[in-house]
Order: sequence, then C-alpha cells, then structure tokens
Amino acid sequence: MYTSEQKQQFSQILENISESLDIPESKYKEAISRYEAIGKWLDANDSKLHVYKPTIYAQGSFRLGTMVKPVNDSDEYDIDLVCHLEIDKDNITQAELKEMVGSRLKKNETYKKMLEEGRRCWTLDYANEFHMDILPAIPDYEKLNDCILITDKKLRLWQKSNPKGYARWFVERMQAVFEKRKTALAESMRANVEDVPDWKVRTPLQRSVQLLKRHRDVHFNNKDHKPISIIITTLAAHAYQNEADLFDALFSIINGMTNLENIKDQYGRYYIPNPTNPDENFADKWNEDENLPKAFLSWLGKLKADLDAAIKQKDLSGINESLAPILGIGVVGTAIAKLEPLRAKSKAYPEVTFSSKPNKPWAC
Amino acid sequence: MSTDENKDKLIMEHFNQLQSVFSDLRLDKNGKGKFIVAGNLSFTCSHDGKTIKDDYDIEMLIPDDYPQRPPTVKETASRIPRDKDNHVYPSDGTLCLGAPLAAKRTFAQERNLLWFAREQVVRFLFSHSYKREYGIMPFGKLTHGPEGIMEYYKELFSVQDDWHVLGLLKILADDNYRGHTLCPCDSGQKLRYCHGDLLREIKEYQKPTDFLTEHLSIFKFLDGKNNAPDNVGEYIPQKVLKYKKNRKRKPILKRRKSGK
Repeated sequence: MYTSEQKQQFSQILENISESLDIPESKYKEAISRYEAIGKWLDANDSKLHVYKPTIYAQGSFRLGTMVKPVNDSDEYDIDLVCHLEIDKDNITQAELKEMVGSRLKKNETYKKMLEEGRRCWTLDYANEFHMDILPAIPDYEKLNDCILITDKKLRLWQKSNPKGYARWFVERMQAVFEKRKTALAESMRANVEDVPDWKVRTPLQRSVQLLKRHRDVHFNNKDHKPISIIITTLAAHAYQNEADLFDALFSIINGMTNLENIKDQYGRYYIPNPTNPDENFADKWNEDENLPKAFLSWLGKLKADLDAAIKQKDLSGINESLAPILGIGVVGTAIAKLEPLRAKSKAYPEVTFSSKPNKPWAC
Repeated sequence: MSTDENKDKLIMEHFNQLQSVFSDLRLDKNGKGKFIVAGNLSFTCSHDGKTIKDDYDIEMLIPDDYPQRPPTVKETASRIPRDKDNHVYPSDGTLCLGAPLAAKRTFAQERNLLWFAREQVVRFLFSHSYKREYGIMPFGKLTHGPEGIMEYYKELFSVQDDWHVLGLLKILADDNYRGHTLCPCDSGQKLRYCHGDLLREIKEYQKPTDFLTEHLSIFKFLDGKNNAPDNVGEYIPQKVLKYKKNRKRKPILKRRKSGK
C-alpha cells in the first residue's frame, strides 16, 4: 500500500512527465503559423482552389491536446490537418480532389521539395520539426454538422469522417474538470477566463491519454500490433469520470479500458464506434486479427503492473528507476528533477579524495 | 533485451551510482536524443594541506559508444573562461581533462560515471579553483598543442629524447607491434622486454589513426627544430609513406627543407 503523500507526489510526477511529453509551446505556435501559411497559399487569389473556399484546420491529437513527444528525439511531431474545400461530391472524384490539392501545393517551390503523397493525405516534411499530414476533404452534405468526406487511394467509396465533431465529443467528456482547470489557470495567470486559450488547459483525461500513448510507444517500439491512438483516446474518454486527480483518473481509465466485453456488439464482434458516426468502427481490424485485441490487453496489463510497482517505491530514485524504462529516461528524469527544488535541501559538498594518478590539463 | 536497452540500463546504473555521491546531477537527453548528465557538481577537496569547497554547473555528454569512450564535459555557468590558458577548447567549450590519451587511459581504469566525475572532472574543477585561490596548478599542466602531447608521452614512456617518442608512436600509428624488434628508445633491448607492455596497453585506448594524428603533429613540431637525427625518414609512419607512394596528390607532410 501507499500513503496519501506518496499518491500526491506520484500524481505530481505523472503531471510533470506528461508536461514534458507535450509539444512545447513555441513548437505549437510555430505549427499553427506554418499551417496557416499553407492555408493562405491554397486560398490565394491566383489559386485554382480559391473558388472552393479552402480552409485548413487541425485534427487528431494536435486538436485534442493529446500529442506526445516522439520516443526517438530525432523523429518529428506528426500534425494532422484537414484541407476542406466547398465542393459537392457529385461534382468531383476522390482522385481529382487529391490531385487538385497536390498540384496547388506543388506550385510552391518550398512545398514542392517537402511534399510526399500518402494513401489518404499529402505530407509536408518540415525537416527536424514536423510532418504535416494534409487530408483533402469535402463536406458531407447528407450529414452536415462538420461531417466530411475524405479520399483513400485504396478504397472506391468516399470515406466519412468528422474530426471537429469528435473533438467536441472529447471535450464534453471532460467538460466539468476542464472549466475548473481553466478558471484555476486564469487565476494563476491573473487573467480573465475568456482570455485563457483552451490549448493551455490540460485535464487529467488529456494527461492520461498522453501517458497511455507514451507507454504504448515505448512498449511497442519496433513491435507489431501497436494499438492505434484513436482507440486509446476513445476508450479513455469513455472511461473517464471527471476525476480531478491524475493518478485517480489514470487508474480508473485503465480499469475501465480493460473490460473488452463492454466493447462487443450483439454478434460478439469488437465495436468501438466513432462517437459522431456509428457507421465507423475504430476496431474494424480487431475483428480480422485476434492478435490486436490480445496485444492491447497484455499491454494494458503491463502498464498497470508497471504503475503499481512504481507507486510503491519508497523514494524518488526508486520511482525514477521504475518509470524511466517504461516512459523514457529523459522525460522521467526531468519530471523528477522538477520536484527536487520543492524539497528544501541543504547543499552538500561531498568530501572527495582522488585515487588515480592526476592528469595534467592540456589544451590543443 | 536489445543492445539499446542494455546500453540505457547501463547508463542508468552508472548514473545512480554517480548520483549517490553527487546528488545535484540529473540524467536527461539533449535535443539530439543523446544522454547528458547535467546539474551542479559540488565537492570538498584537500591538497597540500589546503582545502577547497566549491561547486560548478556542468553538462556531460555521454558518447554513443560509452563506456568505450569517456563523456565530454562543459562548464555551463561561464565561470571558466573559454580559452586555452584555462584548458577549455575554444571551439566547443569542452574541458580539456588532459592529453587525449591520458584522459582515455584514466577513464579506462573503471569505465563508469562516478569514477569519471570524481577522478577527472572534479580533479579538473578543483585545479581551476585552486589556481584561482593560490596561483598555481596543483597537479601541474602541459604546454599547449603538440608540444604538450610530446611532454605527456615523454613522461609516460620515461624517455628523455623527443625523437624516441616518435619512434614509439610510429609503432602504434602503423599498428605494427613486433615484440622481437629493437625498442626505439635505444635501450638496446627487444621491444617485448622494454616498452612493449606499455605499448600494448595503450593501443587499446585509441585507434591507430589517433596515434597517427598525434605522431604527425609532434613530427611537424619537431621538424622545425635543429635536433633532428640523420635517419629522420625512419620516424615517418609506413602509412604516410604508402599514402605518398600511392597517391600523387597532396602529401600529408611537406618535404623537409634540409640542406638548403
């Protein structure tokens, strides 16, 4: 067992870890200015796209506030974007839409060099910074409410999606805590609540998703059957009960996610619907390959055991030793070092005696 | 377990050992994903009846092939001026802990972070504090540049003649140790009964090309002086001669101007 101080300290460490997993504020702002520039280029007066009122907006973890730093520091942050054009699906094919966005991007000498085509999107590779995945999309007039249709090279039919709707649902799942945290943050910044941007607020749900994803990234590094982020995010948001404490939130989320019976439909098939579109099953692949749900469960079990072991540690170095291998030495070390100044410590000047023959300093 | 994981584990173990003595250091990764140990290194050391209590902000960069090679160290609060007189490489601000081989050789005794921090880093920082306080370097120092490396080797090999250093380094530069040949130190003994053991020990610490670089820099330095022996050609490594023979491009060494 552990004491309430231990728990409080552990929550703080988890908070610090997820803080260092966040995309740094400077990079966040830079990413926005980069994609706004892309938007301007697509919508310029001489652009063929101009008449279709192109807009660019973020989707996925960048929008949700659940980004995690890549495990390998040399890897770039992935930023998922939607490039939305006002075109009726009857007036354009998937291939035409993809091509239209691609050829406009290629007209820009800078983008041309960075551009790669993917199955669904165009990727701009900002070396050492970001990968920007630009997903061409048109409105789904049958559904409205921000529903979009997207292209997929391998599939004949338009694919449906709703990133804005999903983000609204995700925020709803943590609404109560979100408002509280935002007010608290405004107070600490001595600002009005309206002036605090949403992206500065992080709830235990967002933090938990970051920690889950990070543990997954380390656990499945170079291994198969890695669970996809959207499944983790969706199940975590379902399981979250607006706990105010990160440790409580994380444990109840892990427990909630572990029961896979909850996510089977009447035929016993895995069914994790997109909350904004019941036709989209995020767990489609799980029904084709039983190794996927198996790997998911065994990963969650490992995560739970890892956290159980870590919280029982008596001191910070024990916590450091148990968390570093599962979440990354750098982020854990930094998170624990941040706690140190809080603890008043008299500076020690250890007695040092040398046992080797001294080397004479030199200079080239 | 992959080798990467093993390496990470080893670094963590070594770091914990280090932190148990120097508690204000932390293990982290820098922007390029390399391990660093950063923070405040404090110590109390005595020498010649004088005690120094001091602390420095430092950052050690752990090389990819650790523990084969020792970390490099920077002082991060700009207390030590970045110049040769203070034994700091001006180009990148790393501390020069000794002649290149000396630093590797001391590290090789234990090959861990605590040993490195105590015996090499604290020793260096203590010398700096001591010099500021009392005006002298407690453990001496080497001249800058090739001359300093030569001084180091003369002391290491216990030889008086500058050229004997080159004769011994030539063997390492060519990676051509033959125990039955005569030792280049003119002792008249076979290498295996003279400098052989030492040569075989130190060839483990750095590559033949490193010895070649050192050899050539010392050669260039000695070449300008007048005590060159008549058979100076015998001190040139085979690698250089072969290089000159095979490629008629730029020679590594300029032709001697003797006799003009």
